[in-house]
Amino acid sequence: MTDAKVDAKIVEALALRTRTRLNLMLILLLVSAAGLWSAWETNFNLVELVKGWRHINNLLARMFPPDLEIVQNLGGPLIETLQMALLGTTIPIFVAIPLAWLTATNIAPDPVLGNVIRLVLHTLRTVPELLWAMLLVSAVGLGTFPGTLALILHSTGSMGKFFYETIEAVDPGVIEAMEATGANRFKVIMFGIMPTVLPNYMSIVLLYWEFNNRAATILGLVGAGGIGLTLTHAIQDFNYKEAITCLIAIVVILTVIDRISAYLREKVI
Amino acid sequence: MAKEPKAQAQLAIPDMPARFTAKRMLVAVLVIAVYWWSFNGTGLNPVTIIEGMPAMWDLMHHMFPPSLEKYQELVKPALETVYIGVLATIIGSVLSIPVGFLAAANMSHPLVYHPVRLVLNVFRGVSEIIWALLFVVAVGLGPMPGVLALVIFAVGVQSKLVAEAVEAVDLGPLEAMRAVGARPWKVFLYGAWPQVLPLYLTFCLYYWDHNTRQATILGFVGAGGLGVTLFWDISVYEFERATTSVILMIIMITAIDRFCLFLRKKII
Amino acid sequence: MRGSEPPMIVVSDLTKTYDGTVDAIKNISLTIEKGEFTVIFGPSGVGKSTFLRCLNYLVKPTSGDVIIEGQSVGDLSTAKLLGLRSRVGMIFQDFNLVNRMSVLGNVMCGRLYGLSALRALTYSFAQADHEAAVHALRRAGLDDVELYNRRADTLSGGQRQRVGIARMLVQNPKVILADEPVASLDMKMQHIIMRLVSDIAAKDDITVVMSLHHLDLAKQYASRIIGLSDGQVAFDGPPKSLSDDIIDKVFKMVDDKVVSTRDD
Repeated sequence: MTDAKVDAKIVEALALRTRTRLNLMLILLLVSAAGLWSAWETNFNLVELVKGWRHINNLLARMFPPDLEIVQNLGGPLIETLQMALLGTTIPIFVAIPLAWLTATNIAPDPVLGNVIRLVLHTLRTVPELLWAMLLVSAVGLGTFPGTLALILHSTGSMGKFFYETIEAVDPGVIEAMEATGANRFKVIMFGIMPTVLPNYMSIVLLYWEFNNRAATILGLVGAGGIGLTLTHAIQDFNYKEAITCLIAIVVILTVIDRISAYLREKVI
Repeated sequence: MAKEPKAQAQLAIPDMPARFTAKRMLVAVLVIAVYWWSFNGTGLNPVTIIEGMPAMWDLMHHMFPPSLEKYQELVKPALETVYIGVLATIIGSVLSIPVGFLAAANMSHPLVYHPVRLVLNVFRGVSEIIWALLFVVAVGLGPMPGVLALVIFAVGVQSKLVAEAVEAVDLGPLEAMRAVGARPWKVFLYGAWPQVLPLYLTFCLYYWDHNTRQATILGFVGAGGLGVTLFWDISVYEFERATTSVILMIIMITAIDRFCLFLRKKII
Repeated sequence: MRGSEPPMIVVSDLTKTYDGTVDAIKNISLTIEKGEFTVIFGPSGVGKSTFLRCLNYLVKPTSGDVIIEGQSVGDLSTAKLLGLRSRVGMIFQDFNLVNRMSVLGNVMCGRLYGLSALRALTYSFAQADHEAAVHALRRAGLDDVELYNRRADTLSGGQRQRVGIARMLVQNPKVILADEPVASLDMKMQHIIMRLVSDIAAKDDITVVMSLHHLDLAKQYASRIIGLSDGQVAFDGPPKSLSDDIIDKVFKMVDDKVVSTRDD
């Protein structure tokens, strides 16, 4: 390269660097502005924080020491929570997988139907579990039934999306090979696609089992059963020592679930 | 004559792998037992579902068509939800950098590392909405407890992610920094941080989406946003307006979701 | 020429256009007799893969006919098309095995057409399928029983292509379609696999249509070479007629892929 060309390249590089720096500063400025605006609109400032800090201390004082007597009563609600999470994770599998077969762009029989299902799945997963639970409670009443249904609805949407995205990533050559043997769509799916995606599916089911256990603990806030209900009652009755016990129980059980999930993950995948 | 070699060939064929082993049967029985117990415990079975159908259908009737009158009243709460999401993500993301640094085994001192990790586990272990409930009880209703709750949870999760990313960095540049005599925080900033940055930004975007979703329902416990009006509407059976809120919520979350996807592509 | 027997494959005026603008293949008309070993020769991207896939309608032609054993493939119902495909074996450049499935499982997939829905749902092949798979693997040169239950992706490239060949064998095919079957293999393995396919085709009187970009392999094993250029037939004849002049004139020497086949 000639000297002039080298010079030109250096100038270009410096210009790029300055532009990148300016872009970066612009982004930081935008983000800070958004943050300050949000803080203003939500009345989030240091004064309020300091005031709040004293209240929080107050609450903490009222929560400790935890009331350990009620631990024996927590068994039932905890079990309910686990059961809700189990059904809420596994039943959707049987619904979401066939739906994924109908939606995945590389195997869907009918693109219009596929898009409709995609929309349905999107709605199911965008509405939070707690909201589903609340709506169902107002329809069928309190208890674990609406809670489990809420988890099923939400998880079908979430897992369904993952299922069809995984299918869409399958090597098209394998699908071709299966079709070339004269297999119909069902057999192509069962032998060409399912064995390939199964490990990913198992991984995601375990992940959603963890999520659902977490979600199940709070469904009680709207009356949908489980330990969340016990917690809500305790707070409503100003029984903060009971409330903290419930909280500790929740943290413990969720940690146990996380451990089990990690163990299963290693064993099965 | 033709039979003999064929018989020999058949002798040599290996068996098909067994399908019904004793161990598998035992696992199957256990699984069925657990499910039977769960179905009983939750009251979920085909009968109850069919019995519940009319009520659910009824609910659908009440919810549609959504009421468009007074929808202006929903705009302010909806915006509040967005603000809560944005603010919580910014504060949480900023805080998770130093905290993540402290929680990284290769950067931090053992006396600091273990307590920090423990605290982070507690932050993550409790659901955001429970944090929100506690903060509402402590500081009162409004968006602030909501922001605080999301920040606590976000710091719990994001710091761990940052810590893991920091622990996975290539140590070469860091050694070089240390050799030059840089202090630990400089080693972090110039050695580890550039490697962590792309991952960190991906987390931030992901959590912005997540936080906005959570912010929509924090209002159920009084922590501000669209959830407050939604909770009220459902409680007093004003379902048409509830549906409007839900639709608004879905549009909001979808918009932010798509925006985050777009930004993510620009980063990578 | 086979005289009284009808030709195996008749292709008339076959055209495939992508996106309304790009002609992958244009107005191809050929007749392939039973038992012929036909190699479709040409550089990458010239339309060989598309042509092959039009024969079993994995790719639907834009216009033109494919007639196999007197039956027009385009007129077949879905069920009959599947039946036709079950008698047409196909092997691929990248083997296209299901990586996580066992070798035996992969081979038995060749019998999917005849598998009942219930068996498909429960992944249970019949004993007959199992035996056919073992025989096919042996014929394809994989005798080591220890390999049979291993995952397909634990095998070497050459072994995987043998599994692909075994999968095709259990179909008892009348026609073998081979899409660059040796392009991913080293030189020694290329000859082994070519010889294997050639021997099987000769013994079972199978019609082979294979795409290759290796000139020396084409000349060595084919009974007939069809050269494609720009999606059209540029040469059709026995290997010995394929002189260097024709290659130079017809296959555009600017495309260095044609040059490189001599180095393969």
